[in-house]
Amino acid sequence: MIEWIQNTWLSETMISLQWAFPICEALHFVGLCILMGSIAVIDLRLLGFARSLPARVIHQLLPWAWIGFGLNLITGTLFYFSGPDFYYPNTAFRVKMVLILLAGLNALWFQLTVNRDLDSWPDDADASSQVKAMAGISLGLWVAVICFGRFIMYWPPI
Amino acid sequence: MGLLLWLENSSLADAVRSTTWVYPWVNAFHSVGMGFLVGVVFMICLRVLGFGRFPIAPLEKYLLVVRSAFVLSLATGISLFSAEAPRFFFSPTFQIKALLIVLGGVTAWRLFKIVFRDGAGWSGAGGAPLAAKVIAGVSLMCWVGAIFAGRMTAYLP
Repeated sequence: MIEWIQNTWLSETMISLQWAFPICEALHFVGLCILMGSIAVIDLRLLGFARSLPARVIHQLLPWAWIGFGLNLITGTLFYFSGPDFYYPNTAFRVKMVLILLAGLNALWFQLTVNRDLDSWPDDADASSQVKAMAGISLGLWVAVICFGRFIMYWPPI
Repeated sequence: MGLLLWLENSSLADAVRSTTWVYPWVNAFHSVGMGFLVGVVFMICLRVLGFGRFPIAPLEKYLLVVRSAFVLSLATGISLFSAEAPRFFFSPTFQIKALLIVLGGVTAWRLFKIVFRDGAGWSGAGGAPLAAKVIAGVSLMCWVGAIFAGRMTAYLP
């Protein structure tokens, strides 16, 4: 699998174009901000931080989370293609992938159980403790994703 | 230069440089701070620019998040800077990053003043006035530029 990736056109392009990696990194950070910004506004609202913001507004903010995530999925895949032999065995990278999977399952759970009911919530509704738990877990997981993303380049610890 | 060398020889710089785990953690918290700071600023700017049609006044609560994230980013930023003070200080990309953060900060602050004074009346079809949209657009571009310049600082000498 690693060898197959290393022989792809995409992998060779990522390595031979000197500026491809730094530009993808900057875009990955922009995507991080878009994702984290929308998640922060949504999750803090659900936790009761800004209850004057109507809960149904979450429907208008979620697309930004998807845009940020999509941008980072693309740039992240390009990183992986630039050096699969570096990323595949990297413990920080593996932990990050598991954390993203958990955050995704948590978001799916929210999507299936809460999201469609938001329109019927009163404007200043206080979320149930189950929904608050989802929001808190989401916030914690995404912060951990950012941290472990940063640790990849410092792994293994010297 | 004397100040930069003093900073680089300080115990803060020593701690950031010498232990294997402090630098990655400070770096991680710098990124988390950026995510919350720039992320929430992005959401406010995008709403002013007309993406989404929801009441904007309640977002004022989130200024506490913006301020806290700014303090976190600044504190971790100063720690990272201290580890190699002269290199960062004389790096053109770092200078551009610092300038763009100041511009992004000043424009965001100006925008917040306008938004949370007049924004309650913007939920109609017209949306925000052009002046507010221009400031929001400029602030957005400054922060994107700061991110790019920050990343390039790691690569250029």
